[in-house]
Amino acid sequence: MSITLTLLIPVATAILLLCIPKDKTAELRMTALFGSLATLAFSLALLGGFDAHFDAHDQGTAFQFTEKHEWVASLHIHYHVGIDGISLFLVVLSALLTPIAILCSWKSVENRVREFHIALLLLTSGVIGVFVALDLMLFYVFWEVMLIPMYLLIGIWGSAERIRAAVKFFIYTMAGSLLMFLAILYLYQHTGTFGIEEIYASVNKHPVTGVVGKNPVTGVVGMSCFLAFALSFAIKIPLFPVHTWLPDAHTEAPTAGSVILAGVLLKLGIYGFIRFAIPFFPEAASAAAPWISILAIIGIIFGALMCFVQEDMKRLIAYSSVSHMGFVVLGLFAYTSVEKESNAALQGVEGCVLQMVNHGISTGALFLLIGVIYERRHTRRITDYGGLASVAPRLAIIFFITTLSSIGLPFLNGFVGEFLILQGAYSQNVFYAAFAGLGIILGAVYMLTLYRRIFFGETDREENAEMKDLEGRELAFLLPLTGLMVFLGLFSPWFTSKIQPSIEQWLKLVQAGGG
Amino acid sequence: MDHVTTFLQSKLTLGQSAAAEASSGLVSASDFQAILPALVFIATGTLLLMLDCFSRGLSHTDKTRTDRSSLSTAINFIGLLGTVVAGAFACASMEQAEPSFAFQNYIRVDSFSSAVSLIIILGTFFSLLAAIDYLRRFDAEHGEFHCLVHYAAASMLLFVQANNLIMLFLAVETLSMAAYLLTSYLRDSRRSVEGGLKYFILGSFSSGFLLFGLTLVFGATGHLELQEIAKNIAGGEADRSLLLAGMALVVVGLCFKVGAFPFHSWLPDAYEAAPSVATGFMSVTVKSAAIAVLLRFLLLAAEPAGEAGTASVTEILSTVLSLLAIATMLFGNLVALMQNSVKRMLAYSAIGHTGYLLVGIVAALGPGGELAREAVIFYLLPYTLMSIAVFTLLGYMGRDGKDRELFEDYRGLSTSRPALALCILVVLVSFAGIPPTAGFWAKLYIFRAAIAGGHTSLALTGILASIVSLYFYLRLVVNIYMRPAKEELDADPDSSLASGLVIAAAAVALVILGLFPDLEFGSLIKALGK
Repeated sequence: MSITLTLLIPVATAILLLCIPKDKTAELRMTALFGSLATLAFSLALLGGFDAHFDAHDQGTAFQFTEKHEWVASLHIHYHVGIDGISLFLVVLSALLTPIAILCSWKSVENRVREFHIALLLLTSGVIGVFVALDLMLFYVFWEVMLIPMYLLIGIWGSAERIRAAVKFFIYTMAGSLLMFLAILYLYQHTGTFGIEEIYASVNKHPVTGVVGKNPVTGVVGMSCFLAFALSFAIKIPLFPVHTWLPDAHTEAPTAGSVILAGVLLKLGIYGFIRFAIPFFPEAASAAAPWISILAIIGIIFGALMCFVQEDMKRLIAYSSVSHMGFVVLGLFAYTSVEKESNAALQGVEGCVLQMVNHGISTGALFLLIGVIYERRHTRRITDYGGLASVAPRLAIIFFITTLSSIGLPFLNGFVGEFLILQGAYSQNVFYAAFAGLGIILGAVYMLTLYRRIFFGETDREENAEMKDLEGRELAFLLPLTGLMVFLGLFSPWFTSKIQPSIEQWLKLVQAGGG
Repeated sequence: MDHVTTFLQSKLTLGQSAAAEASSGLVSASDFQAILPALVFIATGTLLLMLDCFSRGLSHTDKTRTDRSSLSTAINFIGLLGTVVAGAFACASMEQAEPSFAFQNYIRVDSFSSAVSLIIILGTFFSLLAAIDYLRRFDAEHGEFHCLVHYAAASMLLFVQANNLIMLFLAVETLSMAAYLLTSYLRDSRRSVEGGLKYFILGSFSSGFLLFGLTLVFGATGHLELQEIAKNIAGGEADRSLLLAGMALVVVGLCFKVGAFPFHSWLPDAYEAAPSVATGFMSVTVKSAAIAVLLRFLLLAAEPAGEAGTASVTEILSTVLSLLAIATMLFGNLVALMQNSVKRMLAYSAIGHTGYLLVGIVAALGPGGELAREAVIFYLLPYTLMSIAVFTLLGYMGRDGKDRELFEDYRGLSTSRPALALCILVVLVSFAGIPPTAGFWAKLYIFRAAIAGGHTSLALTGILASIVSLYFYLRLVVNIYMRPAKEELDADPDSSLASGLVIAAAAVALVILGLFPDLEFGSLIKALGK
């Protein structure tokens, strides 16, 4: 029941908000915060109850906390949910970022407070739903459900160019999704099921029983279906060259929107590759892997170079996301690594999963910090700032830790993930690793430059000299993330121990099918 | 007005007497029972017309206003009550498993016709409800409106139940006549009259095609009764080229009624010209009825005729229809993209939706068509709700005798009317086919049936057209939610409770149907006969 509760609490809170008069903003905010904290509590209960040594063979499934009820009998669609090590931390991350998003909008969102929180909570449900769905159609429903609240968040509460950004975001993502929808229906036609594990079984060797399926969708058709899935996920990640919606959406979205977008929504694409695209079409995926890796590398370098010319700091972080997500994709596709006896594939994928969480935390924190600065000065131009370090030391320290975490400094969270990804990439192709390494160096340069331009130098503007430092509410949403950066950096084995068994299981699945 | 009544009645008696002569039997009570919903509509329609005629004199007395308004309340009430009663009878006939025949096989009642009837009655009910506000606001409260809607509904039910070529034509003529009049209902408005005339001329033209087609089918098979025609074709006795020509002409006639490309040209003008409530009514009921008949008619010739190896007439026509479906989906959605008037946008999007329905029909004609038949029926239900809801909104927005049809007129609606805006958001999301609304499942069923039937290219085109359609549905959302109001929307001149009720009911129904799409609606429809 825990998963269902985690899904339902935000929806229930949203319905509750509808019953509160719209001018009682304080009550609305408190109710929404309380609801999101309850969601977080339930997701932490999932984390606490998660069994790292779960034996898939005994249980007949690789997923924990599973629930299965019939939903649409005529199409064999089930309400089937469960989590494994790959989705576990993503669920927790989504639940964590919602109260943070509510807190960070406490003062900045003034109009239509009720609708804002309803959209945010529905978005949370949708996102968590994507991570826990074990039925392909259920997944698709959640995948699309979350688009509307995000679209409204950008379009209603965003900045100047919000409408264009919102429409662009929506059309891009829906175009990809609808093609995937067709592929899903095609897959259903040939496998007769929407159950994810059933499809695994019919496509590959069954992960638990070891029975080899007859693999109904192969060849050109398999490739087309894979590309339909891959396009939809690549747009979400976003992979070069379908990334162009992201800088607009990120820049124009309100802070809360950017945080959720960077923190969770981008992960959905990677998660989609892991859970659906690769295991459903293993042959097509391994054939396409080199191309996707190359696109990922172009994304890494391109995103990094774009960061150098940005004058808008939110846009800069947006492009840095393109670069960072390129790393994550590169790590994931290390699963095709030729040296099967070495651990390269495992390391790459593990790095990928870890880095998804890390990127969510550090980029989420960066958007929060920029939101904090923007609330004070109402400009996002980097040149309008300078010398903030002496004016707002607490802000400067937290921004610095976050910057270092984003760069991937040892002892902070980014390091472990990047290191594992580089190892995975190296075993695949030395050039991949070389370009990825270049990306890391470029990343350090543009992030530190950004930091220098905002915080160091002369405090030559009066508005900057009078800027207030962080207050209690702001610390309340920033410190948990900063704490996580340090914790994840120091105690990464605790995380990997939960993730690793699921990844091993996954590798067995996809390598059996592809090989 | 009267000529409509007499026209209808004369056609009905013609049908009855012809049937009676054919078997020299008597018309029994069970015959009337079979067409009870239609009879209820005719009875209430006539009653309302009489009520309106005989109370005309009232308008010269002193207490005009109160009497007029109590009269129109009575008319509204009777009209809605009649619809509910008709709906109850149609529900009752859903229960029967086996098809039954009435009036010497002129009428066939099965679960398919009952399901479509129910959708038509639902659309009628919502339209009448929305009309309460609209007509008052446009100062056009005459009993005729209700009367026309009732007669149109009655003839649509008979159209769906028709089991005989003559019956089919009589029903389609009666319903078209009512539709022409409804289009030009606002007789003081030049646009309305012009649209009605345009519709009438092109509509008569298409009726000619239909009649010619029916004649050729009769000539090819020598039968008027649908079962006999099907048997004749299956037995290979029919003249194949004559049959093909006849069927093709019938398809053209019906494609005109549903507004499929390239027979759509009347549709945007008529939709735009008609009063919004009438547009809502026509867009769902006429389309539902014509789609149902098109499906039933094409299934007649599904068996391959003549020597083995040659394609059956239906196969040939289904190839043509799939091309029409592709063209209709693309044309409707692409042209809707360019409209500045919400009403025209909706008219073109209605053409696009016809395209999706044609995909369902093409799939229904192939092997394993049961899936697609259910999909088509399922599609009609959310489509009815969505379409009525948006046209009700258009009617609701009208002020001082003028429609507000431009996109920018809808700016800031979410601040002045938040609840209404939310309901419309749900409706538009459903139009775009996004879960958790019924519109999503409607598209899912159609495309799934298309893929199951091997029509992947149709499904792919449908998906591409859906992507295009996102933009113009979103455009309305953008105006309602994201742009600041240009001018404050003045307070409702009168209470607009009924309009709000229609839109809210549609939104709630779409979400419920979206969360629980498996209402076993389809299982009742399996009995679509051969």
